[in-house]
Amino acid sequence: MDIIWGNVGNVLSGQIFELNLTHRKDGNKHTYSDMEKIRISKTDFMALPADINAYTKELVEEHLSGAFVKCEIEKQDEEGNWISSVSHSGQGGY
Amino acid sequence: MPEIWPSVSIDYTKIQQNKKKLNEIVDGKFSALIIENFYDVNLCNAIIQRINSNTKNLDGMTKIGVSLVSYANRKTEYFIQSKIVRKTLRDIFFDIEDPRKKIHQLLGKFFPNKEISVAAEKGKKYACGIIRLHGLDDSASLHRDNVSYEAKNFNVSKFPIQLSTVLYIQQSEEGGELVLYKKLWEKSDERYRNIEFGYRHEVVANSAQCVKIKPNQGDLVIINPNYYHEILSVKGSKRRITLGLFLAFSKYGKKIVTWS
Repeated sequence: MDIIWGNVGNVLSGQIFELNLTHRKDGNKHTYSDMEKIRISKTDFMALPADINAYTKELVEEHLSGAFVKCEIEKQDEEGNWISSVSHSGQGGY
Repeated sequence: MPEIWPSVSIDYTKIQQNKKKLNEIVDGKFSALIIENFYDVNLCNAIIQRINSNTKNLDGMTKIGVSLVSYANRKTEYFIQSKIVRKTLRDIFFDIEDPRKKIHQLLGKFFPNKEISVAAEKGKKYACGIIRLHGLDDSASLHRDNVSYEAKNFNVSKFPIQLSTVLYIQQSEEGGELVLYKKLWEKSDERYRNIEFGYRHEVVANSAQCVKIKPNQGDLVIINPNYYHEILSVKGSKRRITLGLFLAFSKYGKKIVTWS
């Protein structure tokens, strides 16, 4: 599975955001540019509702905007968005 | 070359005359408050003996206790692990002055009008204290501790002020210094994150002040952990052993809560 990391940039909808990439897994099958559009398939952000269909643009902006996240890529949709599981990545401190 | 960000040292017996110093840690006037001779060296040695006898065959062990941010998205598990580890820490401090209680008593001297307790949520207690073990060549890369950002689903994240207390149970022979940078974390710094832990050094490139400190065994250090800091690589045969405890409060609120 391809994995990319970066900071959440513009939130385009309740399910799609722009990711500003900072890291890429060695051995990824695809090549990723410095900015990619991510469609959320699931997340581990506890503050967000369990059902991703309930996500709104405002909610995602509130909880993910600027955050450093890990995106595990499942596939690319017809619009070119990378369908991904989005999770917290590592720790910024203790 | 950055200027020195001064730290301030006071003897444990002189707390009453220096009660306002803690506010100057909160606002960054000083990098660290070092409370010298806080905990008896003989008791430190007794704790070291117990830790060594429990961990001598566990070379990779880096901590005894639970760190909240490691469980940021596993809240239920955090409280389960906190309960499990409570007994381990009680055993380590059995029959000697519990340094965690002594830290609580100290906070009571700094804040006589506030009520100090271990944080709890829906009747479940947070973890209280984490012992960190840094062996040869171990370090902690540049980071900041900010539960308000990192663990928003825990109630302790609601307090506006977070401080960190670190008791030096054993100091390393060489290395292991704490380096503090006068640079507060801000959200835009997230672009400097490392995948696993902490931040790249670029984040403090423009920091005008920093300081390197190496307190003695038995000293307690209090810092505002939202300023970037790191632990340099430990050298020599002795492990660097510390007990860490966070506290949080608001300026006018009546409560101070602690956790790890």
